[in-house]
Amino acid sequence: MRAEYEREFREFVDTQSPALLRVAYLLSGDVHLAQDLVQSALAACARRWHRIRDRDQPFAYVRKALYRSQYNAWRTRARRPESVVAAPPEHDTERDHAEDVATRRDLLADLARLPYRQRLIVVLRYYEDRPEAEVAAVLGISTGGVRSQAARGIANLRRLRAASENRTEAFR
Amino acid sequence: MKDERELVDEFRDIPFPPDLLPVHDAADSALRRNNVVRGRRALIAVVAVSALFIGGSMWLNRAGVPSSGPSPSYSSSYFPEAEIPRPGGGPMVLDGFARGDRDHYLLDRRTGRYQGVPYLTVPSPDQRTVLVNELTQDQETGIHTRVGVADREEYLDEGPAAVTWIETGGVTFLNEPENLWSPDGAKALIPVYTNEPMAQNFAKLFRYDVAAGTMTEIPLPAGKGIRSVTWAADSNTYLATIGDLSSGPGDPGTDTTELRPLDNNGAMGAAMTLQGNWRTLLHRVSPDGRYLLYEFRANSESQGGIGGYFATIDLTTGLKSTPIVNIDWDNGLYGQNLAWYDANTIARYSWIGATPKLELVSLTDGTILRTMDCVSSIGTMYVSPSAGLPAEAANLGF
Repeated sequence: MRAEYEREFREFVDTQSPALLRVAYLLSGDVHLAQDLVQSALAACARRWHRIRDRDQPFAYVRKALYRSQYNAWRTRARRPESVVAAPPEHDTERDHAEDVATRRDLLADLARLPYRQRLIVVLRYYEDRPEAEVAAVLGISTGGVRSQAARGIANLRRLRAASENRTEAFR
Repeated sequence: MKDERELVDEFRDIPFPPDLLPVHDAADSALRRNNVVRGRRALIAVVAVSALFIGGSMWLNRAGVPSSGPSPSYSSSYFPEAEIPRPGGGPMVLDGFARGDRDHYLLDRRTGRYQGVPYLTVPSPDQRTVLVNELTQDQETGIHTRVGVADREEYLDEGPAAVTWIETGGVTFLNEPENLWSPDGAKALIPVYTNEPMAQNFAKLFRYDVAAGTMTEIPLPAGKGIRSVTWAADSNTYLATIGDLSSGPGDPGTDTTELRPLDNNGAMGAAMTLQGNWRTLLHRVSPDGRYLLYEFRANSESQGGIGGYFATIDLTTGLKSTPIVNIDWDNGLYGQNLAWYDANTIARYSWIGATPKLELVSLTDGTILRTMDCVSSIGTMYVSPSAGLPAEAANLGF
């Protein structure tokens, strides 16, 4: 890689890695897998840097690579997103003063329990707040598919939330 | 959560783990990977050109290649010794595993070391052959995937050069890889999918005969979809979860799934009923051939509550065997790495607290018989007898 390109690439990695890692974490549910996912996407990005820099789209390229690799990953590792975690998400035990924080932590746990195509679409739609058409374009599927998977994802999150709240009530 | 906007708000403030940081040398690492890929491509090109000049016969006959003993030539990567659990002896051993998504390891039974291998690798039960799956993804040209077979020891020694790639005429992924090999290790199921991302059914199903090197298509029942398939104990017929294509992927709230024997002509046998919906996954039949291990995700309280479970069905009676064992982990996720340990015991990979463990679960009463430390972040694991390992590797057994 030319020195100029390498400098640009390094700047890109420095500035964009945190945002990419957050997305990768939501998709994989695991810090190490998220790092691995981002590194693989960055390596793919490095291979084509000379092209994508010209189009001024490196972030879009890496982000798309992240999502697509996860979207298709069910075929070879249908069990992975639900089976690999480095450490359990921490659950807040002091609900009385931090219930809102606990709720968001529960969201992470609930998200990890979704079938991961649903998880992927939920993250794109509601974490990244992307419109259906853009989600469809990123994943290469129809907007109808996005809509139905998003609806199922929301319904499952509601169900998981309700189950969690019922359990909490039972212990009070 | 009341509505979609509320979910957006919740996501906005979500607390990420404090250790979610870029790897120390993220840019260097990405550039190094890039260089490795370029280097491999260059090496492959050089080797290919050299082979042309040297002449095919010497290459094909491997004339002059020393054959004494294992001599890994394409790779010297091994799983870190310090991280390998050594429970202290026992009849079974981790035969291979995938760590995370991309790192695949296979036990070299000659040396007792876990060697890194280049592809998703599924060892045969007779430990002679491996099924491999290469999946590469290119942003511009899409997904490329292929499946192949190799002699296990040649694969360990030579890597990609030992693989015979199989032409499937379609998109082949080794999803649910644990159930692809026939119990006798002589045949493998090769599923072919459509390239439609949402598809979950097989488009075609082939049976690969290792000795003959032939592929035979198994006709699928008309109008039916197969979600999960595994071998019957006879290593000749199959067991499959079968549903109507017209009904789509199934209602997540459905409590049961239909299991049917399937023969090589696509004829179905009498239905049995499994717990769980269309996402129920079939594992393997027990060593004595009587029980089928499967896992399912419950979506209702009537199934024991929302969560992941495994169970067995008695294939001689079609009745559910007890118990149904919850495979949720302490962290609220659940594990799906299961293997037969013996006719009455399942080995499962799990997380207890923050620690990865291998557990032996009794099928008699669901109790945990033994808990052992295990490699972290295992995605897929294969278990086989430990007999025949060299003395220095005997303590790998559990």
